[in-house]
Amino acid sequence: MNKLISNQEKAIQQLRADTVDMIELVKNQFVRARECVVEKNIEEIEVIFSTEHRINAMELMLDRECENILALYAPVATDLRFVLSVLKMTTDLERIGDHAESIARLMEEFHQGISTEMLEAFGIPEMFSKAIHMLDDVSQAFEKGDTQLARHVFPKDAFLNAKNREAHQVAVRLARKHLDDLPYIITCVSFVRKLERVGDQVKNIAESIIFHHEAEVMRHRNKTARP
Amino acid sequence: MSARTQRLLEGLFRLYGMVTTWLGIVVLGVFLVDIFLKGVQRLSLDFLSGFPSRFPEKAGILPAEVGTLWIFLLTALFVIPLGIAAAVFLEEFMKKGRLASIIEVNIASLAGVPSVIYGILGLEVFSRWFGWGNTLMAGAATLALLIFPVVVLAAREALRAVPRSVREGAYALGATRWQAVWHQVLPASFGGILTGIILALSRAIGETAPLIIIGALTYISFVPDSPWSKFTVLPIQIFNWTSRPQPEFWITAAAAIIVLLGMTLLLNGAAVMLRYRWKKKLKW
Amino acid sequence: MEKETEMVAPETPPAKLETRELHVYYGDKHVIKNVSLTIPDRQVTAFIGPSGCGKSTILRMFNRMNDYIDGFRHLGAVCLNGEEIYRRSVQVEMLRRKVGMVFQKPNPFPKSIFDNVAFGLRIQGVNDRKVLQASVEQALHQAALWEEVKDDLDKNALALSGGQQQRLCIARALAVRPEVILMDEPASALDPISTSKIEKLILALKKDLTVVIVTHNMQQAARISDRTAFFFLGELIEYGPTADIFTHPREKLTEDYISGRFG
Repeated sequence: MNKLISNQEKAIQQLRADTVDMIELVKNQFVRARECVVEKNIEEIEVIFSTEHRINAMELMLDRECENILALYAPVATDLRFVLSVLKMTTDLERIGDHAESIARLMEEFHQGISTEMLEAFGIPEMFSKAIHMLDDVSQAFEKGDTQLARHVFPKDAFLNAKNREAHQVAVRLARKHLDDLPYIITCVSFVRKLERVGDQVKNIAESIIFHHEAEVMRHRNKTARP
Repeated sequence: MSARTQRLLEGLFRLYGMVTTWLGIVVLGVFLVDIFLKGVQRLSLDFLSGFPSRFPEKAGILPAEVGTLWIFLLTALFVIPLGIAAAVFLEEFMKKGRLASIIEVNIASLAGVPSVIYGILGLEVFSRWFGWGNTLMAGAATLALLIFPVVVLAAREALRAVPRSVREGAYALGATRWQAVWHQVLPASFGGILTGIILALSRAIGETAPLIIIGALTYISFVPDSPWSKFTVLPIQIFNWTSRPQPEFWITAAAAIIVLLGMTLLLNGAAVMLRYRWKKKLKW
Repeated sequence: MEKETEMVAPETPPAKLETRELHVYYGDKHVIKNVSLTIPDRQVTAFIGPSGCGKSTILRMFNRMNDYIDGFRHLGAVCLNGEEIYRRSVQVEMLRRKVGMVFQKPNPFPKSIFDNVAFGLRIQGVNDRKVLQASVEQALHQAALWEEVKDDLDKNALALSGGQQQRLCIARALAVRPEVILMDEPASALDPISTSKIEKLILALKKDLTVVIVTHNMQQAARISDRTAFFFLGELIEYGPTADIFTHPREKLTEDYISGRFG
């Protein structure tokens, strides 16, 4: 006799699977974006554009799933926190996807003049790596329910914030050397800003995961302090 | 009314209730003890297997015993199939309406008709028209008629006690009305029906008037051996002996009363036990 | 593999049961007013609404259990597999073999567990012990009761607990292999754990047959049904996919009822 499973359990499992899909989708967008910016592989730009539509659709679908679960099953405790955390996460994921798309747009226009030295001056390749690691961290943390893994993103986000603070000075230094490069320097600053925002959003996702499992609200606390 | 007065009244009622209850039991007890003391001396195997005689010491009740048994069996044979069938038809198959109510009221009234009337009816219909004279058949048929309304009433009560949900459950599975009745309702109500029948029959074996009217004998020197045989029954024998002037016969009568009471108690006891066993099984 | 967004309308499955402009009267009382709906095959459809709204009456139209009520008459069509079931030529016993019913208060027969489940088959003339044994076992499995009673099928059914009795009634209904099973508030007399067991088995049942369930507990309807119909004072107010009814109902009456604003 098969184990009998309720509609609620089915729906929660489906929601989990779909959220994992969305995180992976967004992570791959950034892998492509890094390919595009750091490896100068500009074919990826089109792929990023088309995938963006899918991400938007997924956000709507996940929101609808959450709405249905709340309306039909009135979940409590862990299930409720799970649904609430997913609702928050979809917004963040969709925005992260948006950032990938706008990076792609900027590359479309300015890719010729962005040199490897310029990128490395801002630390952009490393920022990309960190961002992708962070997305990987939350993807696994979400799937396995591993809040320690989720916490790994906090120091990485600190790195992204630091790079963001330095960007201003780097930009001014580079501009003094080659004023002609200004459009590309400005583009690079945009990349840094966006990557820093992505770091914040992934951090939000990590906090949602921790909320789900530990019922602990992480916002507005000192993130580096261990519980 | 204050609480004190309430409690006082309640206490008085309790007292009154106890007195009346015990009064009934005490009176019955006194009667039984009296009969027992009077009649036990006459109880013997000779008494139980002997024939009536002019001499009270030698009188036996064998013909009356056998007669009572015959009456019991024949009446049962007549009334059981008819009574159950009528009850099932009225309760399960007939549409509830004015006709059904009229029939119900009439049956209830028939149960209250004096037994003498049934005797006269039996005399006319069974003894004369059917030509059964004063045989066991006529007696049993008359008594069957007498207890028929009681059996129908009891059977209907038993059928009604089966919850509607049992019938609905059977119908919902695709049973016809007959299948539902035969397979579920009757088995479930059987205990109640049986109890009703036994009680009705135990009343029948105590009836005197109708049998006298159809011509049951008061003095008989043979044991009835067929349904067409003439007969007598214990109540009539008792009546006969108590109307004799000799007090010795009254002792004999007391002994016969003990036997009759024994039979009645046995039947009623069986009915009570059956009802108890059936209730345990059903547990509505 | 690409995941489809749900902009595509789901296919309409074939209609198993249907009413068209149904009116029902008990004597002079007009209890059901112009109800038209179709119940799809192999799905769970729930009827909800306040007491006395007629949901049980409509349920009982599908297996003609209202025939036993004094003064019952109706107008309009009621169909199973597209065929009218109130035609004179329809044998109601045959209909009930295809459309089974489970009642609100468990009503096992005062017989053994085996005899209860086998009854539906016995009255069809099935007497082969092996066949009955196999059918009884399968039905008890389907009703998630086998493990609990397999060692003593001769035990009196009334000795079982309330939840077990109700699952026994479900097994009894399933033994005749119906196409549809109608459930009239099957869990309302039971404790939460028994209720949950029954809800799970309903979900398992819908793979093989159509389930229509009347419930006064709308959360139950939300948990287990695919489609929900909301009735009020004998009228069908709204009917659609359950998720739609509970997230964005079209009628204000529906919204008020599911939000608990009635009475």
